[in-house]
Amino acid sequence: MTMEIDLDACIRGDKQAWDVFVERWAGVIHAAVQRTFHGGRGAAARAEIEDTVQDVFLRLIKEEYRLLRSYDAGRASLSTWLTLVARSTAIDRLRRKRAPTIPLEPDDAPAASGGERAVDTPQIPLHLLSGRQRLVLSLLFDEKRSVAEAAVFIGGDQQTIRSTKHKALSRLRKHLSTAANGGDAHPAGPVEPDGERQP
Amino acid sequence: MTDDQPHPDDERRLWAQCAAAKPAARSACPPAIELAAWIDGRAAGPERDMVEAHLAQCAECREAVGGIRLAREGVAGSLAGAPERVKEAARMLVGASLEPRERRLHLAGWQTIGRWGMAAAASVAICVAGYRAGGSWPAAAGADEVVLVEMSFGLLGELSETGLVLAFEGDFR
Repeated sequence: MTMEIDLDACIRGDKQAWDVFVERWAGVIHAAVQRTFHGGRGAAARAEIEDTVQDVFLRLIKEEYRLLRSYDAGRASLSTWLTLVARSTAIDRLRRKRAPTIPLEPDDAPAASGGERAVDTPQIPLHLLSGRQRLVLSLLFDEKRSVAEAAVFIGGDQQTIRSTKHKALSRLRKHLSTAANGGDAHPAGPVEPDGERQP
Repeated sequence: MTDDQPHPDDERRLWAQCAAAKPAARSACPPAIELAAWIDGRAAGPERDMVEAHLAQCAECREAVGGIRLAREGVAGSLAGAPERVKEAARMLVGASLEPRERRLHLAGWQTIGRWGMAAAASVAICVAGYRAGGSWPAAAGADEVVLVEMSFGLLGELSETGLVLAFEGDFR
């Protein structure tokens, strides 16, 4: 069934448009919340999930539809965006429930950076690598994902992952080698998004 | 694996050196629309790099992305749909209950003003009645010189649909 969603009408407070929106997207929101709660079989868990789905809809419309207004159809699909909003709402709810057990210190520890720490070895500045290079190395080494899994995550092919990893490690080795020879270990110039340094 | 290929442990160690230089506080998570654009493959240039740099250090956002990728592959199960009562509750959030609620709030506001107005009018009436019965204003009590104030007072009150309309007519001498 195809339903035309008129978001502008929703934002204007059109009841009919809102009903169509709910009918079309409640399943996506419900599924995203359910996944974040890792299922939810019992009656209590189901009630929690349903309350969270209501929270998502409330979040979308509160303050004159501020959140729904922030959606830009030119930048992302509504499905992806709503899934992220639903997930974020569910995580906020879970955090509120777990709040008494959370330590007061901010969660600064990189949760997925692996246990390995090279405290006494020379540190390599992160800006040496592009965001993608850092992400690929993090997926492969911190999370120990396979090249295939990293490719799925990035939304690219395996060759791209191998190539990005190779370039990133080459850059790190070159930096260490330059630093060991007393050269400028921090070359100027930002790293381009594809990992190439500007002259 | 050939001999000239680097050992995976060396590569991991190299990355660990880089990871040790990670800033103490991670960058703020990007807005949902930016992350969604990246997931949909619509982010490019600096925006793409910024999101990827954040993903490299934020396990929570990586988990969000991973969850969406899995769902799209059908690994995480198909959409069963939301229960009808959930949809019904969501539909009720807009429209049907909004207008009556606004009207209730509007009337409640006028009722509050009306109640305070009545209370103020009653206070004034009590004071005037007490004064006319031979008393005096508290400030003038016991004073050597009493300034007589002759006062006639009229209070008109009307409770209409839009609230209480009060009018005072005063004549002070």
